[in-house]
Amino acid sequence: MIGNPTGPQSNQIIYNSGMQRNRLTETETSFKQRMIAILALALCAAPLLSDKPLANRLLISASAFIIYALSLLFWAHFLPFQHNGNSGRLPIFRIVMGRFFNSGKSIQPVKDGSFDPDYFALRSKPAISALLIDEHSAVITKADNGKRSLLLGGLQPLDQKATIVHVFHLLPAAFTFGPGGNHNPLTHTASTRNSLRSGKALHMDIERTRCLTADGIELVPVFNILYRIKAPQELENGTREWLAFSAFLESANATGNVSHQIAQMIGGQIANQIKQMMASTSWEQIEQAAPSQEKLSAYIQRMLDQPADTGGGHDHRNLLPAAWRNLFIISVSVGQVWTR
Amino acid sequence: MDQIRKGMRAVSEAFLPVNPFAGKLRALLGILLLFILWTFNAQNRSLPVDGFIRPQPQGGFIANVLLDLAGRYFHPATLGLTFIPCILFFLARQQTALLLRQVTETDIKTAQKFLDRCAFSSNAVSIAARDGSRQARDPHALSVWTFGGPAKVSVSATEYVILRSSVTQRYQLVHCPADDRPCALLLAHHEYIAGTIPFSNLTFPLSEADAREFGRLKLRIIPPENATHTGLIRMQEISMEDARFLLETLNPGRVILPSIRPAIRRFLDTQDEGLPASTAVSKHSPCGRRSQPLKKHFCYAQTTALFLPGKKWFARPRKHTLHTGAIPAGVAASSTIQPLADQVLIGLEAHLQREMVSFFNLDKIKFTIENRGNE
Repeated sequence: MIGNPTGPQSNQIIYNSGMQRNRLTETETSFKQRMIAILALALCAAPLLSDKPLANRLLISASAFIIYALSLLFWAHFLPFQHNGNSGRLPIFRIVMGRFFNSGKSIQPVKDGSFDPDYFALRSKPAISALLIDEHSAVITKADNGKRSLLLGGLQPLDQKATIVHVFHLLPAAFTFGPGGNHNPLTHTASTRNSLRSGKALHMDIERTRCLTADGIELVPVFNILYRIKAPQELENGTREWLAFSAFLESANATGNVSHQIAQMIGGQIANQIKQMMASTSWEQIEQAAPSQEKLSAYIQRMLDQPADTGGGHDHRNLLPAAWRNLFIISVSVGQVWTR
Repeated sequence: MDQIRKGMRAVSEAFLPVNPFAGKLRALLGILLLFILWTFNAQNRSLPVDGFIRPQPQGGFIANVLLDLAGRYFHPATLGLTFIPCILFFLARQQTALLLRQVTETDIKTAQKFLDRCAFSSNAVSIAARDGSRQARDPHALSVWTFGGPAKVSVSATEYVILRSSVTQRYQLVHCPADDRPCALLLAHHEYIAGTIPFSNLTFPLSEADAREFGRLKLRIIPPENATHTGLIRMQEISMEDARFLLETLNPGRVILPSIRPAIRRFLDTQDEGLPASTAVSKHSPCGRRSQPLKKHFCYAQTTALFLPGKKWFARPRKHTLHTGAIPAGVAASSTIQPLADQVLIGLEAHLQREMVSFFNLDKIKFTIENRGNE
């Protein structure tokens, strides 16, 4: 009996059908484009069949071909793709011309810092001739020889055999690091948890930020983190720093759409800092400085603000490793601090 | 190189102005050029017109002239030489439309209409710059939203429109100052609407933050106002960061509110912006005698709110509260509340301005706090 597949098998089928559908659309459009290009070239070559002198025939054919090329340039001029770099719209024309005569490769969009995750899952990457990147995204590619390139918004040609390594979202992002919800996760008994899986997830959330004071008192802070990656234009050596960060991410096995990984890394760094600070602080000291639950948050906030040493506010970059500091603007605020 | 590019852009703008009338003239000019080319080919003596349609010896003069012209104008070689460029031009349009369709995942007709509009301004697309228009089924309006100008956009007086140019990569903030009727904005080539922001989206209630003590105070974002006038429309160039921030107001819960809340909390915690020390939470005695750290609340029974609470119908002075913005009743007599509240507002406003500008790297956007609590 054949039913609806479930579990990993269904995921595989969905994954395959998605890729297949994309390929079908791609093939259909490419076929039409190729047919039109062949028809246009045949029309250009048609005067060669007349009985005029060879020089005239060649002249007419060449004129027709020039008219065709100029027409392509005329229409391609209106393509609403942004471009950057000193060469103006030249890359766009190059891509357009390349599409008509070599339609085996596709043009893929990168929107809001995300790219087709299937691409990163594949071992042999599909050929891509260009990326259409929106203004809020940036892409790092890697050539065969290991050389990385930073691509910003616009229609960007992709070098042959270059693969996409990282996709970044340039807009600010906010996330919460630590256990969510209004119930104290430390006193929330296992019997009230929905399932083993959610219990395990909660345990992992607690472990991320769980601190122990010098005398062994357990604290679980929740951090509200707001961060923004600086655009390369905002940095002195923007491209170089971005490429170095990409190399670092790859060494940490983070590839593809890396917003989530970056959030986890930033959260992890901040939690580690607090864990270290708490390990050298006794509960008595904390009690003196923070006689209430609310003041406990403010106390940890002050601990976070101290190493920043930038007058507080939105700048907590010093909590990050030195290699990242220039790239990020970070604001960390302490939400709840759970205790037993 | 920049000079050459500017020159090219000027030439392009001069030859392809965004104007339906100019578009029709351009189409007419194209037809005239085609006819000139046709005539040139027909009268070209090198073409083998003989033997196609020959004037009859017994025919009249006019008939012979017409036959002669027909023989020349409708000779396959003449037609081929004249219309092959047109067909090539059409095929190039089809190819570009297919490319556009493939990249942007729109249908081929929308892509074709967009290209026709660019080349000939053949249809004066007029749309409203409302976000709801994105759902329009009209393919012309859809193509404007998807690909951008040229188009005529109607901007109402209750919204800001953010334009972006894909060539210069600059953002412009457009506003219609007229209250009675919407203004018409001509969207140029390579310009598109990045977003439409209703005025109501630029105000955030501070009471939504963790700090509930700010009652009916609202934070208002003030976009830059040193605008240049183009007819009724006011246009102001803004930085990319300013534009991104304004676009974020369409979804304030994503980043703006999460950034305001900690900023307010920090302001209250540090109290370094003019909030008197007498408002400090630590000055108050804790309620009850429970052991640490379960003691969460402080006793505020003897305090007066600095700002009116958010809901008028619920103004009971609470004993147990997290009312950090309140001041002790003994300290603040009614005559002293208002100056103190003003002082706090000025401090908070400066604090938020500094924090938001530093985090979002804002250039021209300002913030102000509207106090509607005493209305």
